[in-house]
Amino acid sequence: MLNKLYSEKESIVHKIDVKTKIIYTFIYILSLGLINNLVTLFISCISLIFILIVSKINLKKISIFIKSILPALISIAIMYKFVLNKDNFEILRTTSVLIFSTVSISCFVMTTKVTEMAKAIETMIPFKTIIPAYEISLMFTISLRFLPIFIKEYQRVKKAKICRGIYIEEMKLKERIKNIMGYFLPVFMLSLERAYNLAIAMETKGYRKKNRKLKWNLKRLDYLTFYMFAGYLILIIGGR
Amino acid sequence: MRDAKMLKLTFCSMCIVINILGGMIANTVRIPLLFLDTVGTILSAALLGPFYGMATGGLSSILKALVMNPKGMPFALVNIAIGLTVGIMAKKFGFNIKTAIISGILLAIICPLIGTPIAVFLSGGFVGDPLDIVVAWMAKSGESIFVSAFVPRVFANLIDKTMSGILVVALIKYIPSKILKPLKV
Repeated sequence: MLNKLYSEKESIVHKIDVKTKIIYTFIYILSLGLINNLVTLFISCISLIFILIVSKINLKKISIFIKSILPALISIAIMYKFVLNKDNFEILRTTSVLIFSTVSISCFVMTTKVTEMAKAIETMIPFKTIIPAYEISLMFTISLRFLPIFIKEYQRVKKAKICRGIYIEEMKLKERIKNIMGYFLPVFMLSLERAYNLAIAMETKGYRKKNRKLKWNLKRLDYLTFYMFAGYLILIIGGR
Repeated sequence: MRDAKMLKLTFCSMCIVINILGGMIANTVRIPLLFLDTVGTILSAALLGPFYGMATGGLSSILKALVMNPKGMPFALVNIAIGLTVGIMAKKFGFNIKTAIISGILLAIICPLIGTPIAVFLSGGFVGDPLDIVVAWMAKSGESIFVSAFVPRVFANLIDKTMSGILVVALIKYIPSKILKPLKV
């Protein structure tokens, strides 16, 4: 259930280190701010298409995310054209930035296992003597473990409400506000119980903080992709 | 329970889950301008302080992006700021209905201050909801795109964050003392 977005494929992008992918995605999104003419727009578009082809991910899945930003895209187009009277390039640029950033984050999500993310978070957190990186990573892992259980539990609560004849969609606004607690409380109480039991179980089993030193351990592929990415940045800065 | 730290960790993990479930509950109850996706962050910050609040907020955005929809990932900074603000408020003044409303008002300004530049950078300030009409109207009347996108967000956040804060105050009353005591409220 949790790996619903992840697509299992044998590709170069899947093999790239998660930490490197996070940095690339972040810098790529920032680089979209450099787009100021058709050349830079074309370079960004081509490099994203190249990554999508190399990553071998299902384009149908990507289209789901693009559908989720469709209202924003339509809004940008209408407001920019008819209300703010911006030129066509400005509309193209703004919509492209939104599409490219969404697709690049989707590409990262679809090529990264959620379980790999916890270790990457722990490694990437700086100043480990001040910030308890291990605890943060543990929190992420625990929430990952319990999320499907609570989603199921919430769906059960929803069905139970319907069985009792409570149709929230048909209620007036005031009644809906009153009913929020009815949805929150069962799931909240269950989460408290789980948190308490888990803490006791971990304490009983002598669970302690591991003093491990995590290194970046970058592979040859990561360095190779770094040169390619640097090439992209040079091209986009040169194209301005 | 001897080690309260373990309970704090597991409690924060559950708060991350509550954040995601809050968003699902908001989708079910469909109250305008109510998103409820920061209830867990406010809860952990109110009980455990700014650090745990920030961790809960940041991790919620990452988890939600990885499991549900990646488009909210750039806004992780907003969630971290919520944890920090509520955490500091709760540490200095305690967390009751009064501080919940005050922190709601504070968050209504802080969240758009961080979220608006990100939204303007990514989508020109338009997100595809009815508030876009206000954004366009203000931009047309001569305001900069930042101010135009900022003002409607303040109103949206004011309702959401104040309601979430009040909800957290109500939820804290239901926490059994065996859990509340180790968390040192």
